[in-house]
Amino acid sequence: MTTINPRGIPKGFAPALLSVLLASSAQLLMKGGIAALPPMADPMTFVPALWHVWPATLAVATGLFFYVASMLSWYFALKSLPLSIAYPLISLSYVIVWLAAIALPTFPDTFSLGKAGAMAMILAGIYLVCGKRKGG
Amino acid sequence: MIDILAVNILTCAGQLAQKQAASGEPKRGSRQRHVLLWLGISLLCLGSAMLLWLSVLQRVPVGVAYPMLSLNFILVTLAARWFWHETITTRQWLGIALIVLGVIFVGRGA
Repeated sequence: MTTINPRGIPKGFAPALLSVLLASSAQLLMKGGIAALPPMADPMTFVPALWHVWPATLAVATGLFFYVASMLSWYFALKSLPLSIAYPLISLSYVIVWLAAIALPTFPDTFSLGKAGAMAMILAGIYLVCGKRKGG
Repeated sequence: MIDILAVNILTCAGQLAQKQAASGEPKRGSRQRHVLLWLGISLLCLGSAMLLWLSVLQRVPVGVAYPMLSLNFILVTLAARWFWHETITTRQWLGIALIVLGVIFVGRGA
């Protein structure tokens, strides 16, 4: 089912990775935006706030756009990858978001050995699911 | 709790619908219609899942929400086996277990 392109990367992984990258950026934009807005559970204050706190609204809107782009890219990934191989790649976004949170001042998150260990587990898991195996 | 479960089911359904759009064979009608229909369904599922998830995150601590969401990696893998007859190797299940544990630790703020 999976075909190999000349560079040795199975077809479908490139759009899958692009999709995860877009979804992670979307998550960061929405996280940053939504944090500046009142709780959604209270629409009477949430909806009017969308007009007043517009940089937050813009961040959320860009995030939504990235999400749609990510879905489109995911569609192309699923054209050539089995769902059970592609879906676990989504966990890569935890690692990307964590790295971004350390690098960006907007999302205060400090490096901890425990968290790095958790990220290593996720990466090892992805390797086991998607990595090269003997005999196909 | 029940709303996190709804997020799980909606996400899983959205993934299945998207796979159906990408790889499924149209039973009747054109290929284009098939793709648009299933992409539409998946957009609906994933969109509502995301909105629900955002509201969950405003109320539920990530220490509880993340482990619940990580069940999705198991759910989608099982669904891929049932609906798409994909073979899941022991190595894959081991990988899924590591991912789920990793996500739980991330949520717990390890």
